Amino acid sequence: MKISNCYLKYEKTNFELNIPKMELQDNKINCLLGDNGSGKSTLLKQIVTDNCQHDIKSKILMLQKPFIFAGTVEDNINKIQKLSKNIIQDKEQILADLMLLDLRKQRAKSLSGGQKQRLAFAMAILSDCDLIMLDEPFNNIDLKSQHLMVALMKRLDKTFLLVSHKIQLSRKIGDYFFLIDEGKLIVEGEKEVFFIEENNKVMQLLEME
Amino acid sequence: MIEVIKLTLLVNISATLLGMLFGLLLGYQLYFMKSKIKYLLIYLTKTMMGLPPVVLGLVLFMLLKTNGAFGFLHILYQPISLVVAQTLLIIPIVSGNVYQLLVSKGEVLFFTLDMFKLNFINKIKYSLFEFRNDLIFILILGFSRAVSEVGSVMVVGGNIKDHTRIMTTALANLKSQGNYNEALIYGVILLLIAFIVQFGLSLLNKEEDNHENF
Repeated sequence: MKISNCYLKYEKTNFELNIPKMELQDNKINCLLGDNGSGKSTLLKQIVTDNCQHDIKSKILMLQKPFIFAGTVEDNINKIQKLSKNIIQDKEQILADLMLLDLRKQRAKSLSGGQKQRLAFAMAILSDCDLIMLDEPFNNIDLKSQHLMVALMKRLDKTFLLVSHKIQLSRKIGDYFFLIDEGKLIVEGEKEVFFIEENNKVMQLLEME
Repeated sequence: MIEVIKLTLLVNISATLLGMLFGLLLGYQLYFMKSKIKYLLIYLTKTMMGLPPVVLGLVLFMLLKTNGAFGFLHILYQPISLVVAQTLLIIPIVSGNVYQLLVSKGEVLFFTLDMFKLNFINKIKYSLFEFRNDLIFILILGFSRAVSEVGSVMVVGGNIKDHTRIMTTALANLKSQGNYNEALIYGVILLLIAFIVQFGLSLLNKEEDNHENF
């Protein structure tokens, strides 16, 4: 998947996002790393709102604070499938993998933080989009939920673009990595060439965690 | 008394529904507006939320009197003028609250819906459905404004017996005559109406008692 001409400038803060070219690995977990305010979430939003050129047919972004629709867990799942016009065959399996089957009749807004996050993740998966972008999906969730989500990402043959502050976790699950700094891509590559001592900025992030 | 109650309900409910309709349109318009005067209009709407009914009544009276700008409509001292006055009082309450609702909750919903390339009308439909509980509460606020005001309907309706007299104006009239007992009965009935409408609308809000987990 090719993305190009991603450009945005905030006059007030003088922040500039400038990604002339970026190529995601198909059916892999692509990780986007960087400091706070480096432009990671902005880049995802630019892609999902078609404010840059790309060849991606369908895409979805799971926001840091995802929107949960009114109604039950089941209503939420049905709504996202109706919106995306896609029907995934192994819906039951995905819900089971994320331990959501027993919560189907529960009101979505009454779920705990981790359960809501798992629901939002399930909705992103069940939209069956070609590219699934995840903005800090592991924030505020327990290790068990994190494990369930990671296992599902690994099992599915999907293209993910993951933004996470958890560098070690990203390193463990990711296939391809990008480092963004002050709105610019500065390093990219597979695990073996990305996490090397020559990449000072990457090493700094690792040390800080 | 029955006629007064009937007219009161007719005026209050009509004004609430009309105020809700126009208030919704204005609230959404304010939210999606890109013009430079947007913030001026927001401040104006918020100011109008606290508009004293008697001031509105006076302005409306001047517009509707025979030689006023809308005198040709001949609706002054007619029941329709009561509906117009109360509708104008409710519109800012509804639009101000709808705008605030969209600012606080709408951003993420509209962003999510944009991912699926929904057209504008469908986005509005989704938001009306998703925010239905908040909108029911705004509807209750609108009705409360209608049922409790007396100033504007007194000025534009004139409190004419069997014609434009509604419960609040009747109550004020009875009090000035020293007929406190009957006035009190009107007061209790008004409270009952407010309670029944509020309770009925709250029943629609099924999720109200299930608090969000945060």
